[in-house]
This record gives sequence, C-alpha cells and structure tokens, in this order.
Amino acid sequence: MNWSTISRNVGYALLVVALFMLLSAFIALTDPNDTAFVPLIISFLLSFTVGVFPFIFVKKTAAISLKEGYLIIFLSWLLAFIFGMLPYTLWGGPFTIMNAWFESVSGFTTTGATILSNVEALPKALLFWRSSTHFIGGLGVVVFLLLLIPNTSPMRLRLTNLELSSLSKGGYRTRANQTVYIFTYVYLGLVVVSFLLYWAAGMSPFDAINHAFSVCATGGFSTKNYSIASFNSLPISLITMVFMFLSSTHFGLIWLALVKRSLKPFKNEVLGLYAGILVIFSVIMAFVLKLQGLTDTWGNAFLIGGFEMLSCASTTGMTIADSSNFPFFLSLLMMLSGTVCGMMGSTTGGIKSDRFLLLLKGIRAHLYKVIHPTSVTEIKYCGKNLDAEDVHQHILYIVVFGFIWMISVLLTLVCGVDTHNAFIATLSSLGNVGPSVGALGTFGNYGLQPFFAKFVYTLDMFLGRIEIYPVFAVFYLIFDRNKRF
Amino acid sequence: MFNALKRIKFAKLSLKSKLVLSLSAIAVVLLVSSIISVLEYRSVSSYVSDKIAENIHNINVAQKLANQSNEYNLAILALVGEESFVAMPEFDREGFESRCDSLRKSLSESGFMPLADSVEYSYSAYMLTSLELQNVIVSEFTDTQTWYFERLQPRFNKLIADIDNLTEAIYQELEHNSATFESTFYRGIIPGIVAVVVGFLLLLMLLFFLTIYYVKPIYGMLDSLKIYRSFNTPYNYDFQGDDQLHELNENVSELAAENSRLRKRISAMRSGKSPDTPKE
Repeated sequence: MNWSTISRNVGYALLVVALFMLLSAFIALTDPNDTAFVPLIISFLLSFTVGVFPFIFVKKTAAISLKEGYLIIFLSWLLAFIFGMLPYTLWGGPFTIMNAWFESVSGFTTTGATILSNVEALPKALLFWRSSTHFIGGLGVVVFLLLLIPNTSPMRLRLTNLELSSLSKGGYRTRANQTVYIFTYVYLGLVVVSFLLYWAAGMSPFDAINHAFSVCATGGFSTKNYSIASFNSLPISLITMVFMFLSSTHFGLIWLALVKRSLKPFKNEVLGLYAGILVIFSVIMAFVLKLQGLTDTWGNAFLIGGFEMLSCASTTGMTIADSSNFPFFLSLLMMLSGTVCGMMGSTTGGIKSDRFLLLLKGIRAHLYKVIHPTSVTEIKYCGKNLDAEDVHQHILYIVVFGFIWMISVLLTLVCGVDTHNAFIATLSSLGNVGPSVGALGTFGNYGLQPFFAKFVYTLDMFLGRIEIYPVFAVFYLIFDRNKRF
Repeated sequence: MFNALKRIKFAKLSLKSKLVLSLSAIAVVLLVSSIISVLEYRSVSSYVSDKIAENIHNINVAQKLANQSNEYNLAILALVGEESFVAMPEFDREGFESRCDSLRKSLSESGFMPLADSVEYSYSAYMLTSLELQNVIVSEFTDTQTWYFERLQPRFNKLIADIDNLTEAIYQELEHNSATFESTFYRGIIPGIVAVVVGFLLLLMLLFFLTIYYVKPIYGMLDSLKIYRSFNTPYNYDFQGDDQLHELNENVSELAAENSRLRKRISAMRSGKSPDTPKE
C-alpha cells in the first residue's frame, strides 16, 4: 500500500478544513469581543501544517489501488472530524473532548445534532465554523479532493466511483468526470440563492449565510436556540422548506431542469415516490396536530406538519415547533420519513427513496416469481433494467442499515439511555437526521447523554454519512488475510 | 475556477529545503502552541486566583459584619437591665454599610445579590428597632426585657442568619472557584496536549518520509553498488524523486555504466582486440 499517496490526498482534505478555519478566524476579527479567534487560528495552523506536510516530500501520482481509494475516503473523513473538533476543544466552555468530537462529527456528517443548550452564547466565529462543517460535509470532504485532481487522472475516476454510489450517478446523464462538477455547481448555486433569499426575507447576512450552509447541506445547525422558530417569519419558513426539498432531491435532476430546460425530472419515479410519501405523511401529521389540539388553526397545522415532516425527510432537522409535545406516533413517523426519504445524488442521509423503491420493486418481483415460477422477472429503475446483483447490493444495504441500528440500540440501552431515545436517537443519527424525541427533540440537545452513548451516536452518523460500505471495506481490507485486493 | 486551482504547481524543493521546511513546521507548531498554552493557562489561572482571593476577602468582611453586630447587640443587652437611659452604644454605621455595599458589588455577578440585600434589610430593621431602646427604658408601660426578647432579639437573629447565609454562599462560590481552578488547569493544558499530539504526528510522518525517500534509496544504492562491484552486473537501481539524492543516483548510475565500458575496453585492449569490434 502506498502510504505516501494516501497521505498526500488526505492532506488535500485537511487543507480544505484549514481554509474554512481561516475564514472563521476572519469572522472573529470583525468583532473585538469574539473569543474564538485564537482557538481558530491555532486550529488553522495545526490543520494546515499537517495537511501541507506530505506535499513537501510526496510527488503527484496518477493511479491508486482500490484499497488506497477506500483508505483515502475513510481517513479524509476521520481526520476532518478530528481536526474539526480542535476549535471547539481549544475554545472550551461546554466542549469537553467528547462534546467537541460529537459536535464535529455531527457537523461534518450534516446530522445537525448538538450538545449545546445555549447556541446563542457561542462567539460568531465559532458559529460560522459549525455551519462551515455542514458546508464541507454537505459537498463531501472527498468531493473537494476530487475537484483538485486532474480530470484525466485514473485516480479521479476510481475515487468518484467509490465516493458516489451507482444510483446517485444515474440521474446526471453526463460523462462520469463531469458528475462531480455538476454536483458542486448545483450545491453552490443552492447555497448562493438561499443566502440571498434569506437575506431578502429579513435575516442578517451572518444568519443568512449560516442558515444557507446548514439548509443546503441538509444539516440542521442554527445560529439561534430555537432554530427557524426564532425568526417567527412565514417567508423564512417557506424559503427553508423550498431549499430543504431541493437539497434532498437528486442534483442531476435540478441540473437537467434548470440548465437543460428538460421536463424529464418531473417524470422521475423516485422523485414521485419521495414527494408522495412526503405529502401523505405531512397531511397525516397536520391532521394529528390539529385533532390533538397542538395547533390553533388548520393553516398552522399544515405549515408545522409540512415543515417538520420535510425537515426530517430531508434529514435537515431545522424546526419551527417543539417536537417534545408531539405524540410518540408522530415522532416515529418523522423518523421513518427521515430514513426512507430523500434522493441519491443529494446531500441527504438515510436509506433514501431510491433504495426504498428498489426494495418495493424487489418484493413485487419476488412475489410475481412465486406466483409465476416460470416467468422471467426484471426490475426497471428509472427506465433501465437492473441486474440482480445491482438490486441485491442495495437491498443488502437496507439490511446492514437495520442490523447496525439494532446493535446501536442495544449499546445505547446498555449505557442507560431511555428506550424511546435508544430507538429514535440511534435511527436519527444513522439517518443523519438530528433530532429525536423528548429531551432530544427539536428544541433539545444531546449534552446530557451518557459519554459512551454519544460515541455510539457519532459512529452511527459516520456510517450513515459515508453509506456504511467504505468503513467496512477498510476494516475488511486491513484484516483480509488473503490480501486479495 | 477549479481548473485554475489545478494549475497551481508546487516549487521543486531541494533536499536541504525539504528537511528544513519539515523540521521548521514541527518546530513552529510546537513553539506557537506551547506559547499560547502557557499564556492561556496564566491568564485563566490568574483570573480564577483573583476570584478566590476576592472570595476569601468577602468571607472576612462577612465575619466582620457578624462580629460588629454581636458587639452592638451585647452592648444593648447590657443596657436592658439599667433603670435609666445613659446613651446608646456606639456603632460604626458607615463602616457596616460600606462593607455591605462592597459585598453587594463583589457578589453581584454571582447571583448572590439577594442575600446581600437581605443583610441590608435585616440590618435596617434591627437598627430601627434598637433605636427604640431609649423610649422603652423611659416608658413605664413597656418592660425592657420583654421588648428585647420579643422585638429586638428576633431581628438580631434574622440579621445574623442572613449574614450566615451570605457567608455560606461565599463559601460555596469559593468551592466552585476552586473546582473551576482545577478544570482551568485541564483547559490550560489542552492546547499543549494538542500541540504535542500534532507534533508527534508530524514527527512520525517525517520519520516515515525520511525512511521512504532517503534511507531506503541510500540502502538500495549501497546494495546495488555492492552487487555491481562483486558480480560486475550493471548498476540499475532507480527510485521516485526529484531532489539531489535522485540526481546523485543518476550520476552514480552513469559513472557505473562508464566504468563498465572502460573496464571492457581495458580488458579488450589487454587481450589485443579492438574495443570497438562488435562481438560475434
């Protein structure tokens, strides 16, 4: 294994992290009372030095093996988490080592769960750094690396294949090496437009950029204690809903619709399934909220129902209402939407609608085969016939997802987490949603969770964000005695 | 935009520059972080030390208030048995009030202000009641002892209880500040620990790169030279690199090739054949 090449490429990821630390430090310079400047500048120095260090010795290399590719992805994320926690740890306050690790992982994986009880007490620069971790994580640490690798490099193709799953590349209808650019342009476009709209709707530029980073990355960190509810503004709530939806749809479809002026995206069956589930769940939620007397008017019921359901379905976690008052049934429905909604090729987490659709089609095909044993069954996905291996790969993902969830539930129960939260918080972390129920609800925080439970949540977030397989692949490759790769 | 980023080329570094750069990076990381760690620790610990000193001062002040009240109350008690009023006992009101004020100000940040206010109110009530003494002694309808035990003593007890509560609160703050001092120590050494960990990581990386890019090639060159000298096989060792060591290897390779040619020519000359004659 070529560790030199690995270190050079992981160095790129650290340089991106360092760049945003420097930007955050500049934010600190705008306010003389901002106490985060020194922690951020030290963090920048350390991250930059470690990131640039391999460049002194290691020359550019074009090719990498599969094993090196997986290790680059794994280590890029891991080191981003570790170096990302430095500003928090050095700043102090409520950030113990575990709390800083939790906040960093939650930020980069775009989960948006926090340990902070009073977000507004943080210095502006640190708030910007929190949102920046969402921005970096939304695009993906490795995507930044891909943007810097030459188009012709075989390494680029290999890393693209490892970082983006086959389903997520499906909707682009462009050459493979263009996929990353389109993803980036759409992502940056969404951030810019949402920033301008938030600003126009009455947010300060600082709040606007932070919320734009957070919403477009489907993260959930806010600069306010009560998230979007703090602004008490219908336009801001509606803008948030629009961008939560757009950020959770396939970026290739947005590209096709806007740049190619194509209507094909509107006929996409995954988008149809996602929107369908979203509408049905939102209506159910609105009815339950109104009938249980949790909202005063039907208008509010539909607004809160739509917003909260979309927030969970897109795995964002922004809120306009306190979910701790909601019946457990609604919390469960919200988590279910967070797990099965959202589309591949977007910034969302969870199983995603694409795999859910394949699961449904797989079950239907299997049932058909049982009834008609001699028939030849095919599974069509977005107009293409998929072979059995492709389908099995994604159904297996759902099984592994469920298996990891169960293990996490057991581990958190052992730590002393209550039963409701053991089930919901782990599912929320694995799906990168953020909020759970009760004290961990939309207005709550994870600060008082047991030490080891926090660690389990962060593992779930990591596995959920990089879609499980790369982590397993790294451990498999390390412990594979036959060294077949 | 992204293509422009890709066009950035890093300068070709010499062997010396690489070593100087890498070692300087480690030195800078360790130095900067250590300095900041020491400064951070000093600033935070001096802040907490000041707080602790202030707490001790406040405890002394509260003790003085209690002593002053006790002395005054004893003096009044001595007058209670008298049949005629001579004069009110002396009491340093200004001193008492200024101490109360200073306590109130120093505790205002800690949320103990209501306790200091209680002391001031209890003190006012007690002083006002104590001023009734002259009238009580002169009056034929009021028993002095009854007045003392039913009116003045409860107010005195309230004042002392409030001073005790305040002292207790200051003790708690002192305890809290002592705990903070311990965590300050933890906070203060965090940058140091981070610097050491990062420095250690950089050292490991440096060791790895030195081994891969310098030690291993030198060993490889030596082995190839040994084989070349022992078995007269061509020197063909090669490794990745763009610095002086790579250049040295190329030069050695050229010299070895030239040496081989010369040896062949000499042996050919010794055997009487023309060195340029091709082999059959």
